Amino acid sequence: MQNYVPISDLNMNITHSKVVGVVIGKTDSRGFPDRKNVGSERFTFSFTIKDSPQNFLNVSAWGNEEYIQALSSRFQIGDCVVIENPLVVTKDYEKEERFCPSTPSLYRLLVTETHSAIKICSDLETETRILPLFHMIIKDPGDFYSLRDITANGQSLDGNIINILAAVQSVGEEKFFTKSDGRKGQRLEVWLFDDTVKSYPLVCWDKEIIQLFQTQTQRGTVLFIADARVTFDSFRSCMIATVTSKTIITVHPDTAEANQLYACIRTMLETGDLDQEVLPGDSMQLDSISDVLTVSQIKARSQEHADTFHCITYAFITMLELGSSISKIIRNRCAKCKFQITEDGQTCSNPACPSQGQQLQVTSGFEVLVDISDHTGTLKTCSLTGTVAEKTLGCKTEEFMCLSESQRTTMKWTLLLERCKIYLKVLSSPKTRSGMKASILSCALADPVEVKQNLGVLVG
Amino acid sequence: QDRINPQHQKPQREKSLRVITAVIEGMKHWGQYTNRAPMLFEIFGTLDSAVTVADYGAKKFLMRDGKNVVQCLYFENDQTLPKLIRGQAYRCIGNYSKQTDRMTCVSVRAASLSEQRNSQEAVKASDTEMRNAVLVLNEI
Repeated sequence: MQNYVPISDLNMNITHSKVVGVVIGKTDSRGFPDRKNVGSERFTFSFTIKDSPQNFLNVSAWGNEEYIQALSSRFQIGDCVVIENPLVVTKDYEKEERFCPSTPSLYRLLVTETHSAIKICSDLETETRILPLFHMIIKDPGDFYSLRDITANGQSLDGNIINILAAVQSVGEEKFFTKSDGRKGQRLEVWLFDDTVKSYPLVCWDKEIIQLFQTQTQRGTVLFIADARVTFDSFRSCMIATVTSKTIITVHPDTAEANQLYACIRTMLETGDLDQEVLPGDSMQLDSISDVLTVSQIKARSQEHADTFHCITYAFITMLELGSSISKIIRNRCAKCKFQITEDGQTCSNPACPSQGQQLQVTSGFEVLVDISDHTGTLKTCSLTGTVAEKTLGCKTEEFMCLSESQRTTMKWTLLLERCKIYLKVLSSPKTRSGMKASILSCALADPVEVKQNLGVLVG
Repeated sequence: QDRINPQHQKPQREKSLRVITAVIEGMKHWGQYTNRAPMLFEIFGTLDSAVTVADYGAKKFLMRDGKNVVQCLYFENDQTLPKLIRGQAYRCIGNYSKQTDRMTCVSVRAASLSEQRNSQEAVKASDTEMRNAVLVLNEI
């Protein structure tokens, strides 16, 4: 029964071995043109197994489509599997490091239809020993970036592979599309948060990873994401993280740092702190907003009913106040009750503030008002705040304060009087003259082709 | 103040600013209504003159699309006019005055190929919108 070969003992001379481990990562199956058999395809998928806190390695299976699809569908990330009679081969560092998770092992395993088999482990004792390894991370517990570290580094991290410790804020809707080669593709956006940043996007393209998010996580689930790629997304003009074939995601990581984060966010979740502001992603993902409206249609809709709605508009920024005094653009608020405080204020002046009498904690962020106009009219004083403003302007508040007058003017003219794709959240607000309040959820220069397509529809 | 308020006066009725994408001919047509409905125009065209200095230090130049031309003025308030090359495509945003038959630009920059190719739909949308708006204006 216990005749499994530990990963640490594997070598090329071992034959007829049985290796057991928990699957900590797995890729989708892919087809390649078969060089020996022109016209046909060979299929493959890889996965990573772990059988002790220190040891894990990559396994790849090759074969025809039918075999590979069937084999791959039999287990998923988090399962404990037994691999019978794999071929032990020395790892090709260059290839392996580029496309597979980095492992400490010198070897990798090959699985083929004729020689090997993969089974779900049915031996309870082994399973009890192996399964907890799923929650042990594969990196040094302290070797991660908080979301603030990532956003603070900005574009200097573009292209880097890093580890992230954060929790799931929300899981978006899976989107399907057809790739240029005719194959089906899918995409899932997950919003992460931690005690420093309330929303940060993580993009997944692999079915296996999408399934992991859909079945094994919920709001507040802490993740250790090893080797995610951070890139600048020019479409949204912000930094995003992407799950690649090198990435290993540990759900509920068993580390002190993760527990600490969980303790912090649990209170955030309980007090509803997370829902208070308009988040850039919010529980309402930008991806799920598809209504394209003109300014006059937005005004009409907000008058028709009092419900909050979300929409996209392709319009010009016709007022952007960045030249006036900093205190009008960057506001300080009490961290506890979000009440605005003056620069010299020592305490929160909100009588109902829960932190009354205590040391004042201040958060500061952009609060810019903009006018948005198209051929049908203008939406006045839409609010552009917080991280959305930082992304739109491409600059953090601290950086902004260091800019000279002329640098600010230059920044202003990158957006002013340019046609932008603007995601809006529109609330009815009887107190204001227009009867509505619009917050910008995302704003970036619009692609002329997209503008053409959407204006065409609006006219039609 | 960065507020773009054409004509520097508030219209009597609650009529907010529109940004109209137009060909030069269209701008000259809709331009007759700017006193009743505030408008900024966006045009795409080629520079068809040298850039010279006009009164009050303004920069003066001619923009062309097809057979139509418009005299443009630009005041270098907080931004200097970029170096413009005769014969190249630019995008101008500004006010058009029927009286002087001039466009006072507030933004002038090179037009991308994609913008030039795809501006037609915006012109069409603006035309449709203005036709309807003018109907309403004439009713009052």
